[in-house]
Amino acid sequence: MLRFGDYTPRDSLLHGLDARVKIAASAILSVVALTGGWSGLAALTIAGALSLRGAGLSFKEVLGAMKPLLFFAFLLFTMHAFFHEGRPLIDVTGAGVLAGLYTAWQYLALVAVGIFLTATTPPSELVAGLGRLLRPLERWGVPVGDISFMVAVSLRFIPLLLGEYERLRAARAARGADWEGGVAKRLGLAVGLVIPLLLGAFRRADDLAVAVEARGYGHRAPSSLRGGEMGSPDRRFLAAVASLALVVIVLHHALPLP
Amino acid sequence: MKGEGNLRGLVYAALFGALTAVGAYIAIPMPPVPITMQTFFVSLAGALLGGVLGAMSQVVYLLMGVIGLPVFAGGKAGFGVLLGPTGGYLFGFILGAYVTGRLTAMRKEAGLWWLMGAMLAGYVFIYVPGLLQLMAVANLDLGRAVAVGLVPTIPGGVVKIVLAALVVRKVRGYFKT
Repeated sequence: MLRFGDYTPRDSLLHGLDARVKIAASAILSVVALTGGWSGLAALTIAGALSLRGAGLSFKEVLGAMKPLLFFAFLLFTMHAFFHEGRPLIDVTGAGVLAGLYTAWQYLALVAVGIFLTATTPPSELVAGLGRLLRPLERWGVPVGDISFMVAVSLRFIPLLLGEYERLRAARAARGADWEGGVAKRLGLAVGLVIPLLLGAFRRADDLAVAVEARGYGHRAPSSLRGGEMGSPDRRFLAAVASLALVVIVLHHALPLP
Repeated sequence: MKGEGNLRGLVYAALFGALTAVGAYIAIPMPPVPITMQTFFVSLAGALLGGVLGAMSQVVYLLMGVIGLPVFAGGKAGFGVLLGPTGGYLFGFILGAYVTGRLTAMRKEAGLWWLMGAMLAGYVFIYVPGLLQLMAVANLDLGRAVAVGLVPTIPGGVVKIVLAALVVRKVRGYFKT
């Protein structure tokens, strides 16, 4: 089963592409999702369905990864259907339903773009790709090396923190904590949850800092085996994505499509 | 925090970037809308790490979303989110953490009221770009943008500021070492 945000090792066209190309492509496609209108969303969805094979993913897997988010999509839909234009309406309006459908679809398209990227690119390559994309900023004194190091560290902290939070929450629940009651009581419970989470995280951060320092971080530019030069498949893919985006956005603004 | 720019500082900024990401998934049931803990960790990052590292922690958070990780609210990802209706709040995280950090650092040992004030000022710098971008991208006038993008978050925001100030006073001793 493919979990949302996870990498799936496969041998596919998309897996083989340069991480920089894939990051740039997902940036372009997420802009299409936000600015392309209905026709843009339709084009994205069709393009996504057609490129499933090229990504080595099955329709079922992508749908499974999206499943936990369908509730959010539904929530977005109802919010717009019932509260169109910021006015709370008791009856559902046609315009509201349309706006709800559009927002929910747009949301799922954004999620799908993320799923395609993370499913076909290992996190280490994503970070390396980001570092190489940001490299030109070094000229203006941006510490690109430090920033990619931080992103890589942060990435590994997330599952750790989520696990720790679940553990603490379960421990509290086992001792009979419940979220009923006044604001003051809820505040107290939240403080009791956040402080151990933070202190545990600080200890891990200190250990990590010592471990990284012991391995000589910062004394020499880190070397990387990741990432070669861009090949012709990379260029072709990027050109295809860019032209799709251009066509969709031009059409959306030139034609009286909804 | 001592020794900005050294390795420990970088690791702590990374940690707070991760906490902000996790905060999108932690919701406290509160009327009228459940509140997520993202801005809570933005306040903490500023108050505990200081302006520069606090802002860096939020840059790291945004970059994780840009490279496709589902760290934005609701599991969204991608550069497009930054340009979307709610993107302004995300840019605001960077400013908010910086402002809170600078204001906190003006006092040697900031009290509860000073901390809450610094965090409130940080919230202003989160919501001003947030509302501006909401107005521009979603084509809303100021009144509607405030009704959708500010008013429902006020009760939760007050709670988060109080909570963050209390937590900072409890854990900041750890940073002196």
